[in-house]
Amino acid sequence: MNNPFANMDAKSAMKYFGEMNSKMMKGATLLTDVEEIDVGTAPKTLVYTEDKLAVYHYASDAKNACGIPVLVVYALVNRPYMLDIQPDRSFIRNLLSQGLDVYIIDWGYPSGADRYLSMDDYINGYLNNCVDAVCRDAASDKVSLMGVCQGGTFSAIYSALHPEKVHSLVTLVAPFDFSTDEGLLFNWSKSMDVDALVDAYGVVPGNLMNDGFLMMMPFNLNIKKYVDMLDVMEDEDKLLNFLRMEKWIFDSPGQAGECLRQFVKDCYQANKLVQGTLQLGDKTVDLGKITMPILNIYGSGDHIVPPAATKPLNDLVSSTDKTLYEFKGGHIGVFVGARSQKELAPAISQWLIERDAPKAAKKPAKPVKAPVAKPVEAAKPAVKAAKPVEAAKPVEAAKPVEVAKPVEAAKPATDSKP
Amino acid sequence: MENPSDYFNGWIKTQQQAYAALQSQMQSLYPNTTAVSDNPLSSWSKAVFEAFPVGADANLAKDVFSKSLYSNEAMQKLFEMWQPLLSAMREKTLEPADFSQYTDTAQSKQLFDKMFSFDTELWTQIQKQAAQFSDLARQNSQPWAESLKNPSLNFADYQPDAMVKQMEALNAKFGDSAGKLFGMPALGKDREKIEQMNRFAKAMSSYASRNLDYQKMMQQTGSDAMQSVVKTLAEKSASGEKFEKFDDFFALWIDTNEKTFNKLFYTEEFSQKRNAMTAAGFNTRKLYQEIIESQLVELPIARRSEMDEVYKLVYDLRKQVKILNAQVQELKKEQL
Repeated sequence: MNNPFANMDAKSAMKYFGEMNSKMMKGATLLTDVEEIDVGTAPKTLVYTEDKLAVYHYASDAKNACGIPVLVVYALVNRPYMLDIQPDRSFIRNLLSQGLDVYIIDWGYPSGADRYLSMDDYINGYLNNCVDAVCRDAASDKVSLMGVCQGGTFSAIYSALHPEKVHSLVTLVAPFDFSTDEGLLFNWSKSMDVDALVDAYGVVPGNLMNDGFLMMMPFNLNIKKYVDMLDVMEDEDKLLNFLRMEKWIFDSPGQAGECLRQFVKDCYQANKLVQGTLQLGDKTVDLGKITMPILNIYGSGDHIVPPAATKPLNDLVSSTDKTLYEFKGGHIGVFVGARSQKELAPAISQWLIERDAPKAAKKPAKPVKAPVAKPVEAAKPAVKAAKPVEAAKPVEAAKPVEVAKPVEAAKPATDSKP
Repeated sequence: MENPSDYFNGWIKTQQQAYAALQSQMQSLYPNTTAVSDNPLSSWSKAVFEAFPVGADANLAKDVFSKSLYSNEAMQKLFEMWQPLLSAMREKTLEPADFSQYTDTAQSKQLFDKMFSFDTELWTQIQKQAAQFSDLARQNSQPWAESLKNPSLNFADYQPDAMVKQMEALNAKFGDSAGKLFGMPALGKDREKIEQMNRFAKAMSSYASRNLDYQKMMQQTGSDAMQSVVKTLAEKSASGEKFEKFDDFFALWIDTNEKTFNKLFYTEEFSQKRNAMTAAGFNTRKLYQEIIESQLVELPIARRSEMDEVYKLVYDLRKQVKILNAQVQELKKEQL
């Protein structure tokens, strides 16, 4: 019987460990030189704050090709700088370079005082106020919403409740049909005692959520990732890429308990959104009220929000202009992968530009405003509603063929978070 | 009894005899254990009585008492007395039934009669009650003591499955017997606190049991994964395949483990057990916080439950202010 380790002789082992030692020494030197892990570096100005949230407007040198401002709605469970993780892998910079006028909501870090915030507060309260603020700032009467993951679910709900304020809706890897048993989160959440969780913590710690995400691929995310890090330690750029992703993964805001309670119970466990029975405040959410153009993007290899949870949206809305876009990649690869930068961001931009309408007059963007809360100032648009282009065609070639690599070289556990 | 010194001399002597009897009894139970050489009272009594000749001064007495009381000799002797029992527990030869000899009513009565030189009906009655209580305690402890004698258990061989079953059996037996004490309604001014502690103890027990169940499942899956790795290695060996470098083996190990655990993660059993374990943990945490709060009630600090009330008030007020602010803006617009 042969020994499968026969080729691993002492000489090559010594060589291997010698090389590894050399890499680690160089890596250690690089690590000690790192003063700050810079993320989210695209220039932006603060245009609105309310309680813990902030809305930023990205500056752009590119010619404005789209009159309707795009408001990016990120998930509550992570920080939005994933979309601008580093200059050469920035989804935001990519959208800007295509001529989009981009705003983003930073939900902030909830504290104990936010434990009673509900889905109604987030969607009909905060999100609605953010939309109004962007409309004021951009002198537009509508926005295009670009919702990411849970932010996509929130955006769709908002679009159903306030269709008059949404010009078009783009959802990225967002769950709508929670009845699927394809994803682990969907399986685990069905029998989860969320009452016990929320009652014990109030604001559920981000680290606790992280434990659940890391459990989805425990050996890759807790062991292999760090072993692989050794391979890139001597390369400063790759090491910094790794560190940026690592920073993002563990930079996890806590979750307002009541909002999480409702999201898990009504969506993951009762699947009320697709059944048309989800109640926010005194309003019932009917996805059939969505009539604006929608672009629904899913990752074919997404194990966090499986395609089965995303795709049904297109069958539930009343929009006639609706596109389903398959991205060959995972949950995070949608934003940071090379293919995403090359194909997805331009495709989204093109889709929005095609549905945009020239505005009669657009006020210049306002400078930074004082960071004071301006909750519900009545938005009175200076410009009348921009009419969407009639019968716009869905984006062609919306199905990339090859699998996108989420993160090059360091492979730092990309798909560990929603 | 002619004089008090005779009484005390007799008392000390009887205690010495009692100690010797206990020691002898223990030796007879566990003859292979270390013998005890001396009576723990002898050095103490010797020191005390030598220090009290007629006219002994107070300082000398104080000195002798200090030395005798702070000496660890008596403690050492006590340890030696219990050592056979400890050895028996360690060597797994402990028999709950053996303790009946210690609680034999007749023997005890005889012993204590001698020690205290009285023999009244009241004392007899007390002894009977004590013996009844002792029997009750033995009956209660018998089931879980018996559960520890599971022949399938072998800690030395580290059999996780046997350990889990053992702990489950112990937990169940304890809950059905002595554990009932934790469920007794508490009385008095500390009733609330005692019941709080009891609820916490129950929650801890529930969490420990569920956690054990969960860990057993994970342990078994890890073991399955390792067997898969070994099987793959055997197949490679048989076919003559070789790993070119360590990374190849590492990749195989990671991949096999990931797949094996992923298969488990998709089962209903995993969801149920993990959620049961975490929910029990959350409940335990909540009850622990309640205990901490009740302990801190006298301190001039805001407790979590009080802060939650404030948070709720702030939340309600914040909403109200926003609504009113919107109405003000509308009114302003109408005026314009």
